[in-house]
Amino acid sequence: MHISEGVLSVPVLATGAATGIAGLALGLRRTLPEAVPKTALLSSVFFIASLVHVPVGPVNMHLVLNGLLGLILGWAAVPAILVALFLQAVLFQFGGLTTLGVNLTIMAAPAVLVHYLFRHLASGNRPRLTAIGGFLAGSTAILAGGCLMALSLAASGEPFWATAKLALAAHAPLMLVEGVITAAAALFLRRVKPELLCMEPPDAA
Amino acid sequence: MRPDSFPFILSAFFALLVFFQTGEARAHRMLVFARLENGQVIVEGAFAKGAPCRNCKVRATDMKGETVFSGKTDDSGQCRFSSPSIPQDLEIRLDAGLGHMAKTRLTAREQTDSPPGTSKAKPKSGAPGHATASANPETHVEDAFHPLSRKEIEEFVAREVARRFEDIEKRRETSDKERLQIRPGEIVGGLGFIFGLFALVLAARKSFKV
Repeated sequence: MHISEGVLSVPVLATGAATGIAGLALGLRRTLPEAVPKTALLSSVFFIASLVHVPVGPVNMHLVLNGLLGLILGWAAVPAILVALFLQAVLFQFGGLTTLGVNLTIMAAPAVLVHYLFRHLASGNRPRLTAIGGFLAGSTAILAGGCLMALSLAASGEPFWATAKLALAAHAPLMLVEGVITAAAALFLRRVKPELLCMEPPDAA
Repeated sequence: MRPDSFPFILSAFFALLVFFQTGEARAHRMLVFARLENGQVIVEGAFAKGAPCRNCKVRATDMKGETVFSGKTDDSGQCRFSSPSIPQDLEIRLDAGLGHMAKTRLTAREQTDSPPGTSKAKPKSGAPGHATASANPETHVEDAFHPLSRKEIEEFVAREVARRFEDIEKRRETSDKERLQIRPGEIVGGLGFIFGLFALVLAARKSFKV
């Protein structure tokens, strides 16, 4: 999902950078001091997730986990993803520094989106709702990210529908994988630390 | 179905997914190599862990931005095309789709400096002295029974230079591919950076009471 250097046009890069900066400003403003440790932890998870290559048939795909970050962190997912993306670009040459803003928008905007869409469902009073909310958060974040990526590439001159179809085909298995992982993580958190899913801890309930 | 069984069902589903088939690999880190061999430019693309970049678009442009060649890589991640008749700087882009791209440059100098028939040409056999020298690179020319003609010496030197040149090229490519590998130190360093940075943010917020 990381777009390399030299692929996008300057207006797309500038738009991505502006959107990224605006999102970062909002994200930092809405990150409470007590949320900083979990933001760091989930930033590390995002940073490492890209190294976990999942063999899907004859090919490898890597995890993104922006849905999980969005579900737990909300707006704080933006600085968490930015730091991880920066390090991925510098250390692993995933994406690039000029495309940092675009990549941040592609991955952080869906994270914030799924937070608002599925947070209530995931923090529902039944584990089944948590599983469904987690699955939808994980898969929707990948779908939305793929669409934003296709849009960025289309704005830089590539045919939109062909790129969108390719993005969908490439990300469809990943949507399922991320959905399952996010659902499993949400169920686990529900059991051990429900307050991370904006739920009341068992003793307070 | 008990709610507690959900994680196990989900894990089993995830395990089954492993066997599903998809399209192209979308690993990120890519490298592209280009070299001249027997009058042909050979472009080779690889993903991280050395997986070949199959069916990827290749486009070579001159310095004016005009396309000299466009095509796709084969199953081994290679693509060949005839080198320009007049050596010129070429920029070669390898596009794996969905924003994954790598590029390299093949300079005019590299094209002119490449020895003729870089190493792939098989040595002629049968010529006295000559065959002995080419079959065993350690053998010295003085070991031959018959004196070599000027032409034979030139051919021998050209072949030896070509062989060494290919060795250097292979070593360079191996070194580039090794750079693709992610080292544990980078991962640990990255994690340290993240926690250090957020700790600094927390400390700054407390100090300035933001």
